[in-house]
Formats: sequence, structure tokens, C-alpha cells
Amino acid sequence: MKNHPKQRELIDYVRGTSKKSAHVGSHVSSCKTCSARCKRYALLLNASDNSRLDPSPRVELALRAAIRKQDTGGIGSLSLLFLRLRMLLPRPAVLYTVSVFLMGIVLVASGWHIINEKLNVPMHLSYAQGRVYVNDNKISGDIRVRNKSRLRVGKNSLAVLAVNSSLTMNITGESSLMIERIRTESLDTQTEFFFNIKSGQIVSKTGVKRPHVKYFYITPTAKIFAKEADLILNANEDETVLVLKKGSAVVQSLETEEEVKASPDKKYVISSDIEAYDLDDDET
Amino acid sequence: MLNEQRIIEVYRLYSKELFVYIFRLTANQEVSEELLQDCFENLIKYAGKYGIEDFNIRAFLYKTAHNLSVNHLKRRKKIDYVLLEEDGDYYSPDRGVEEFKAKELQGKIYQLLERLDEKSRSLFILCKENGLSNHEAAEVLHVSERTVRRKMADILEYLEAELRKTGYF
Repeated sequence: MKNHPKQRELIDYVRGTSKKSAHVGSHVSSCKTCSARCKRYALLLNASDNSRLDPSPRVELALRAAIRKQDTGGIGSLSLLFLRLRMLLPRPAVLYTVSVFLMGIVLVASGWHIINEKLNVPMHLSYAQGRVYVNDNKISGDIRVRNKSRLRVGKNSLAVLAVNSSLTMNITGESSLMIERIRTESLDTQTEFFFNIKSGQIVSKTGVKRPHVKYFYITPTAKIFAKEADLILNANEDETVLVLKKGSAVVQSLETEEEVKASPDKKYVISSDIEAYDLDDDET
Repeated sequence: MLNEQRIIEVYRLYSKELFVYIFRLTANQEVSEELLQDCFENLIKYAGKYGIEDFNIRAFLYKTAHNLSVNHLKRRKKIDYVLLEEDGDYYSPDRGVEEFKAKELQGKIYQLLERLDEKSRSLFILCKENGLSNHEAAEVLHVSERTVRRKMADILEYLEAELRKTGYF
């Protein structure tokens, strides 16, 4: 009767971590039972084909952004710079340098305010829980949103977007959208907000009425113009599901350009066409 | 403290293997990317506070990846391992029967692993996909090498038994 190696010894041998590989190998080569066992272990332990498993370049870009954010350090760095400067220069020179520096900041800041005014939109991310990214930067607090910002909400995460006091939007993971504001200057000045939703779920609620503001929700399959509407929207590449709770909305299929005026308390499924359903009890 | 150049070097060195590990645990590309980013951000913070030797970086990253992934798994619902084969892995004449069977077996293995606790699943993936030694795996999981060997034996026995029932062996 042969002395077969123990199971753990065979596993170590197959994994290449055995300290007795010569001895075990010699036995395996002459024992059909152990050889068959080793083959089965090898099948189970063989690495899968991971050649196509790669993180996207976005991760490295986001990491670089995170490193730079940490390096600039905000006010802390400025204080340190000031201290170093003070040590290097005699006092009168320091005072002169600092005053020139401060004047420069004031001039730049006032210019920047003018530029920045055009880049910001009157909305801010009032709450973020979990993984929420604005332009690939992870967000954890209240921030203003710039025009054409890309917002991404990870799984099991939540972001709340507030547009002044006229609209609040809860965005749950996994969602991806871009925010754009278009302002038309004419006799009747209009501001249009476009929410280009690639995927995800949003719940929108209106607040203070603003008649000159329009909201458009663009998904891969639909364009929805909402007027003072409370709605729930689910979107993916294949279809968009809209439930209008309050207000009015016009729904258009992007593929067929079919247009429907949505009624509250109905569910609309928009793919190549628009289908309307009564809401189930659990959806009301 | 690690400078930007060094961090990016480290990222390029280890991101692939870490991503494979995280993805095999979570089966979700986007989540895996987020967790991968978190791993490296944790490394930056840790290195900034305490400093870290080059030879410890890999182990640190694996431990972080493990902790983040397990925490994520505990929060989420059941993983659908069909996703792993979403890239159109069906039999085709170009692929060959053997390759197709191997892919099918891998899918089945991961479905069976789903029934195990997160630590066992992690251990198996670390050894199978990432090729970690008993010592390295023990360090990541905060267990002894003896435990690693024992658990691997238990997992393989379990997989063998289940696959035999379904005709793979």
C-alpha cells in the first residue's frame, strides 16, 4: 500500500508552495489516484483569464486629481509660505511684499468672481453619502456645481442636488449625469437646465415656482420637459421609466420622436415608443 | 510621504492585480474601480501620516483592498456571477470546446464560492487569481499560515464535492 501524501501536501504541490515538492512530485508521477487529484486541484486553482480585466484610465486620472488636491493644502500651505517668507526677508520688506501680494489677490479675486459667475450654475450638491463624484473628484460636502459638470453616484450612495429653492433632486446609485444650463437673453429671458442622464435613478421635487425656468431630462431613450413637476425617473441604455407625481411633463421618444403629455400617477416606459401604465399599489 | 510620481509608479505596478482581486470578489466593474481608487487614496493618507517602506506597500494595498471589498460585500445584495461572463463568452468555433468548458467551470466555481463567507472567498481568490503564497495571504487576512492551508484544503474539498454532483468531475 502506497503512502499517499496528505491532501494539504498535494495542494501545496499544485500551488508550487510545497517544501517537499521533489518527494511529492515523485509519488504523483507514479500514482494514478494522486495524479488525478492533482489534476482536479490544478483545474480549480488555475487562474481565470484576467487579461481583459483592467481598471479604466479614469481611475488614474482621479487619483492624480486627489494627489494634487492634497498637495495644494489650501490655507495651510499659504500660512506656511508666509512663515517661510517672513524668516527669509527683513521686516519692512516683508510688509511691503505682503501688501503687494494682498492687493494682487484682491484684484485677481474680483476678476475671478466675474469669470466664475458665468461658470457656476445656481445649484449645489447639498448632501452626499457614499461615493459621489463631480468631474471625477470625490465629494463629501456641500459644493457649488459648475456648468457642464459630470455627476456620478456610486452604488449604495446618494447625492442631493438643489437648484436654488425651486428644485431638489435625489440621485441614487448607480447614476451618471451631466448638468448644463442654457440661458437665452431675449424679450422673455429663459433659463433652461438640461440633465443628461446616462443611467440611474432620480427623484425630483419642485419648490418655489419659477416661471422662466425650464427643466429638461435627457436619457438615452427619452427627452422629458417638466414644468413644476415632481417625478421619479429611472434610466438606462434601453429604456426610461417615468412616474409623474405632480405637475406636468411632455415626454418624447428620441428614436421615434413620438410625443406624449404625461399625466400624474401613471407610469411611462419609453424605449422605441412610449407606453403608459396605471401605477401598481406599491408605486403610488 | 509618497510624492505624485511615486504614487503613480506604485499604481501602475499594482493596480491590475488589485483590480483583479477586487473584481473577482465584487463582480462589478464600476464598484471595483471605486474601491481600487479608495485603496490608493488610503495609501496616500497613511503614507502622509506615518510613512511607509517600499517593501510594505503591496501588503498594505492588499489588506486595504480586502477590507474595503469585504465591507462592500456585507452591505450589498447577492452577487450575480452571470456578470463575469457578460463579455460574450459563449462557445464559438474559433474558441474551441476546451476553452469554453474551462470558462464554464470558472463561472461555476465562482457561483459556488458565493455560498462561502467573505474571508474564505477572499482567501481563495488571493491564492487562485493573484498567486499569493500562504505567507502573503496570511498577512492580508490576519490569520496564520496554518489556517490558510487548512482553509484552502476545506474550500477545495467543498468545490470538488459540489462539482462532482453537477458532473464537472
